[in-house]
Amino acid sequence: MQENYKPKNIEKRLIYLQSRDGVLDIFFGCMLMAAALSDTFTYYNWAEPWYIRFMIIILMVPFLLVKVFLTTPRIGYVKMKPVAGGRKQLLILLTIFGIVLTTLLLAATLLKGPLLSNHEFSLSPVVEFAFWIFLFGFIGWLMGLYSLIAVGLIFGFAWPIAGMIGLDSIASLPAELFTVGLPGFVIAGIGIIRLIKFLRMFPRQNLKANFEHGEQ
Amino acid sequence: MENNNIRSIIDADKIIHEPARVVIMSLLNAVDSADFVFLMNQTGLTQGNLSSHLSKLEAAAYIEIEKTFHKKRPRTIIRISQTGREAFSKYMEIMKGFYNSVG
Repeated sequence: MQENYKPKNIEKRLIYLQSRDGVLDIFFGCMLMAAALSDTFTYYNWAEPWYIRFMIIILMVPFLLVKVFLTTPRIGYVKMKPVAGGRKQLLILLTIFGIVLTTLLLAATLLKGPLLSNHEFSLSPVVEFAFWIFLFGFIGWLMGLYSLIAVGLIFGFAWPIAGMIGLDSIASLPAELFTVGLPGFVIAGIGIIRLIKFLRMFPRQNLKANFEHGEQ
Repeated sequence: MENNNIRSIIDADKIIHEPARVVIMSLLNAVDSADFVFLMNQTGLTQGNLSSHLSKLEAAAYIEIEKTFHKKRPRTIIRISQTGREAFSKYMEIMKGFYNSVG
């Protein structure tokens, strides 16, 4: 990646740098695997453990711990300049959209039975493919999180491939495992490889107190 | 006019006009503040080298250095001062003029 120190580009560079630990990929991968696991429980009419429905909140804990104790000490701390008016409004809008969407998804998951049992629906694999690639690609491009584009591609391609190999009944378990579980496994695996690479590339700095600009 | 631009480099700020310090100032100009480890990673300088350059920039009042503790570990926070921002902006103008003149 070419070095670009223009203020408007450096924020993207920093987010990219922080995303190199692969933790976000592991997070998304685990979320998808949890969704596939949830579908497996539903398919077999097994009692679903309570924690699967709260997986997004549970996964946030290790995600934040890794960021605080592994990533930041290795790449260093940096605080960005306050964002400009127009950009700030866009970020606020996206945050509100994200909160509303998460709340709706959480509510739909918690009320899964009454809300969705009689309203099964499925989109065409091509629409799913386009939707996921567009969604992850757009967020990835906007925030400089380029690995999200790969997440969108892996997740998106699973849908038409499932259709091509005959897993076209979206509600069936093999189709769910193929389109949700398998991409989750691949994405989490890529995330683990990226985390190992990151830890090798950025060893923890043992700064000598005297060197760090005078006596500490 | 072009001659003026070429000669203007003579007036370029000697404190900033050193490759490592240009990189440090460019980084600090783009962010609100950063810590020592971040600057070390981004510049590729050694601890001693970076420390020495920061001392020079601090002596010229171009940067402010604040020592804090984060989770019981010392953390050195560095930010560009208003004087530093103005000096860097002026330096960049001179360099742009110079590069435009020599092609």
